[in-house]
Amino acid sequence: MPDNSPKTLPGRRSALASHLRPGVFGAQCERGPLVTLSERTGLTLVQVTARAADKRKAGPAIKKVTGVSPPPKTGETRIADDGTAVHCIGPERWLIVAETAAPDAMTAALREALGNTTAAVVDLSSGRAVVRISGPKAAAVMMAATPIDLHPDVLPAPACAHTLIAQAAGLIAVFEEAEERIFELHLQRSYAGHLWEFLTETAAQYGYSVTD
Amino acid sequence: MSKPCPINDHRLPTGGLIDRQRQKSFVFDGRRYCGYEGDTLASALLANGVHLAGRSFKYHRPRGIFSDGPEEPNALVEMRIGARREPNTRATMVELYDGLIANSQNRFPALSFDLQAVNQWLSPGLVAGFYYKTFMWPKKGWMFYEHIIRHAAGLGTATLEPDPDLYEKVHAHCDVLVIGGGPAGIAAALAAGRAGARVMLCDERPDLGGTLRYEEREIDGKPALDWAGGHLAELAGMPDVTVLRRTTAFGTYDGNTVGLVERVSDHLPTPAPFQVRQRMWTVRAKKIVLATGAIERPLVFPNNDKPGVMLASAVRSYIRQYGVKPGERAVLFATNDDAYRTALALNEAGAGVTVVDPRGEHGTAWPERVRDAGIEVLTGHVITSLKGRLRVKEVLAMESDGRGHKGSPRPIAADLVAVSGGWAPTLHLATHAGAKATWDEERGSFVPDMTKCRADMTVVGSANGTNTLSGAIEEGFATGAAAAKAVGKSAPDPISVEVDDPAEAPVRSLWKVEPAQGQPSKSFVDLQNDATAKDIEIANREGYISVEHMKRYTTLGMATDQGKTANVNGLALLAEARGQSIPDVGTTTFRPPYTPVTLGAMVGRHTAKHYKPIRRTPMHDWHTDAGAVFVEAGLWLRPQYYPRPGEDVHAAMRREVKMTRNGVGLCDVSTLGKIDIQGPDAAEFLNRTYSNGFKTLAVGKARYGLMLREDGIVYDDGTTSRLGENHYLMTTTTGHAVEVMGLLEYYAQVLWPELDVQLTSVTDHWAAIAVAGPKSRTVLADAIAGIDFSNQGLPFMGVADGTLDGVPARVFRISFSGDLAYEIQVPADHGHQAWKALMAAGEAHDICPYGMEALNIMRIEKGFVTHAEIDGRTTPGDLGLDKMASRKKSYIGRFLLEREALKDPDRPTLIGLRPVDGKATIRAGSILVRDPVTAGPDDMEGHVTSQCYSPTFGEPIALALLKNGPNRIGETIWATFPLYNVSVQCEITPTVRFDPDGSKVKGETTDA
Repeated sequence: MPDNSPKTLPGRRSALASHLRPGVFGAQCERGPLVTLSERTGLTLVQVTARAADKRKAGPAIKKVTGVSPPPKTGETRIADDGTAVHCIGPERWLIVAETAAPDAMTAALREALGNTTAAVVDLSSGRAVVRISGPKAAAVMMAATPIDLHPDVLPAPACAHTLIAQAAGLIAVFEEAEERIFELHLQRSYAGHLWEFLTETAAQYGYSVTD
Repeated sequence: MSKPCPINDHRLPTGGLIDRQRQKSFVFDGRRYCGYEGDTLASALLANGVHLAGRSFKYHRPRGIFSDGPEEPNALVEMRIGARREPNTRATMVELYDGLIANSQNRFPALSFDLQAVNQWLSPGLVAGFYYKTFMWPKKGWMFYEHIIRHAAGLGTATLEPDPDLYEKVHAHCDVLVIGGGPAGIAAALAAGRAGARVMLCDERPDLGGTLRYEEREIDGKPALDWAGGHLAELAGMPDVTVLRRTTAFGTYDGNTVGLVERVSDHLPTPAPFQVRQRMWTVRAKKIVLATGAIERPLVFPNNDKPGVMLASAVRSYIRQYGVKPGERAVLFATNDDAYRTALALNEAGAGVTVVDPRGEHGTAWPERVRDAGIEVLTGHVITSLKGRLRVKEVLAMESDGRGHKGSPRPIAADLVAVSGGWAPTLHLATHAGAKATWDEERGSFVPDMTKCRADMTVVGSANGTNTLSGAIEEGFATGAAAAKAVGKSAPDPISVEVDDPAEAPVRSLWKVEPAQGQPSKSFVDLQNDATAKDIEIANREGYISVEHMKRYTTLGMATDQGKTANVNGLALLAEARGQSIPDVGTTTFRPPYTPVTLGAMVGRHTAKHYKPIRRTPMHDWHTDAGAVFVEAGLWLRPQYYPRPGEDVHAAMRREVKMTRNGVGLCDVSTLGKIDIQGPDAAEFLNRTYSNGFKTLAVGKARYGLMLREDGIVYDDGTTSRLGENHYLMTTTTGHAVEVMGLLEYYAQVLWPELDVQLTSVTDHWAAIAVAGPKSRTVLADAIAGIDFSNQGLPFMGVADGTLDGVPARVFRISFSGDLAYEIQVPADHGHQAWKALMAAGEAHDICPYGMEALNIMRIEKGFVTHAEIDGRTTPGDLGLDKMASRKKSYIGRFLLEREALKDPDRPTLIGLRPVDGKATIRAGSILVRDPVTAGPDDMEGHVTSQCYSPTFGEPIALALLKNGPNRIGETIWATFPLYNVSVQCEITPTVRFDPDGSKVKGETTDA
């Protein structure tokens, strides 16, 4: 989607701005830290909800804006060439996660593309804390954070799941980059500090690094 | 370790699975000993000649190490000291580490001399039920008796210090969970793993192998442990196989869920930095294979509790697994052939052995094999008593034919008595899920009946009554293969094993040996609870003939071991007393946990500040930097007040109110629930949800809304704004935000699916700042571009969009303080920035941040209700909001609001209060009565819901619900608080004290 507006307004401050400190922490392991944590900042998160009647129109509209057809089934994720992810997070409900468009621009473009449908477009860009976790022991940390089965046979990347994360409701997205599984956790922004403390305290036994 | 091991003289010169190069020093009851890597605390004590490990629960009789496993009833010790002290730890399950400190329990002053052993001589009065019979009078005496009894009877004591260790809880999923890492379990895991299934294999011991670790058996011509080791190595190489050592499966739950506790670092002096002490696993398995083996049954005979009496299999295990000789001169008292292996093991270890077998000559090779080794076998004999105080010294054996004893007792010098009455399969985890243990007379053992088991579980090996090694392995492998196949994997190639399983004669069930004539003695059934054979007879005689009643009356099968070595004998003795069969008597029910689980493991990381998640607002860091004192509001942390130097809470909140009322203040209200509502039917949806009308709300306007429950009681309130033709933003109270969202989804999806409306929680997307006070308009006009802040441009209850510090900002002209006030919303990532911009813009006007205390004072002054009044019992009328309950439309709660009782004019209704003396504090929760001296419970006319000291009016004020209140304005009433015995005479006032005509909030008299 062509966008000439600044991607992030000046002054934007992420949920974990005061928590995140790059470096290596926790137990010292010969192989180095076994977990890597980072926050994704400056994201555009827009949710589209369509009535069943508008489902057929929503698909092309989302594709027009993001470059990718939204997946039809809850738990499915599709990724556009520019990295924009479209997660199906419920019946006729999609979450678009983009780095390439500003929140207002993405929201306006989707609204325009959806035209006269009654689909709802909601900007949630500020409403979530988004944390990525990877490394050889990422799955072990996730076992402590969430009750669901994250085995690749059950949740082959890319995919997403709405579930409990560290006692709070959230979304887990799974990606694969360079044959490594990466878990992306979306929690409501106000839980960011709680999530970060839970993840770092759990990952400390394996040693973890925090990257920008 | 530089010092040599001081005493270790009961250690065999060679053998065992211990590492003799790695010594471990430890202290038991203040005395230093040494053991080796691979020892348990129990094996190390035995290697040092220490059998006496504890005093019994009730009689304080000396007790010795009895087993080598989780069933241990006697050797319960207090492990560690200080904050890590843990009572009732089984010495048989404690891995020895360097520097270990343990102490015996339930003794005073010392193990070898315990004053309370006097209970033994009082014991005729201390039989089952003695509590109920003895301490009945005087009635009040129990308070005194209980204190003494609790001190005398009991086990160890826990530390009172906070637990310094970390715990965690994890969730795991697998195709096949194999519980128990003996031969059957290894075979099951191997089959499922080779088939490509996701397998978890757990075992409570530090190393897998089960009985193969001490039985001298060969599989395929190799030592059995090599067979196990090879397969364990193969399992370790499978990516989807997880092998958990030191991990106890403690309970089976619905949905094929099994709870495990992994003792991650209990074998270390302290956990490594960041390491957890224990990890609790919640495992959801498609298939469960139970390979938990069996526990040997002891025999019930006179004085069978003396130190030196030990399960026969434990004796072999100590010899073969730990290289310990548990005695010099042993008697094996056994009713089965399997136990004869213990005689051979003792003989090889150089100990003298005599076998006492109540069976006659029974035709298998075992007695001959043992006799060939030079061991005396007394068939047709029983042990009628043991002698010795702190350790067995002598065994008395008599000929017995099952009906009675013959001849005279034959004394045999012995310091060790190995006992075996057969085996009891470890079926706890199956019975948790509804399986039954049924008695198999032929095998003389319980076996699982899985017909009513709710779990998808298969029992294999000796837990299933399969008592040959080849049978256990074949059964395990076939079950593992079948489980893998059932989850869609292809079955692995079958394996065959070559094992020499010598034939065994049937077990003879011998439930009790009567004492020889004239020998008063106790025959213990449950060692941990001091329950004797006689106690069971008494229970039966007194009518406790149900097995569940007998258990509770005698306490047999209770306490930390849950009767692992006692239950079968107890049931059999009750059956005998009732003259019935064991199946007729039935079994008690096993419940989780199989063995004790620490509270820490259950809690995991969810303790202290992580007990529940903490929610923080986007401006949290600003508040922290400003020195705010926070208060918990649900999960949220909110600024309570911002003290300036020298200010306490009262001074700070009064100043904050004054500065806001006289100038301008700002308050973080980001915690309010916010719900985005879109769709062509959004107006209709809101109109049905709120009790007041919403169809006429114009775009760009906000309206206060009241939400009822279906029963007509007020549920929540807030403002809802119309942002566009089909677009609304609802706010809810902080406390009900999550519930209201859920309720609206329920309405939209279930009650009114025909309405085209989409709901999204946007609470966290928007930072919200209330700016209140006569100067708020000036500050905002300065800070926010693009909005006409005049009274006409943005009137009361108007909504407009502008820009604050370059960020899009939405401004609502609403007030919760009664002053001219606004609420600003910006995307949460810009909340911190917006707050700072407003503080900067207000600096010239002495802008002041205010917290929850000031917010609360101002809303009480204005007579606004909050959860203190919306308490789940009040109607709109009770709150003075009658006009908010529309009579023109239908909405949730309308019909039940018409109930007669809810229309009663005498219902307590909201009013204001002030103390007649203008000074006395009116406590929240005070009861309103006409006369505090004479008032009884029936004279209550209402209660105080909220109170504060009003800086604006210079006196305490309160809101209250009072019968017929609005008609009593100007009268007096007493607010009485019986807990502190204080009563305040109050004048009844209108609820709205501040700005009663609304001129301030409407902005007509401000300086804008």
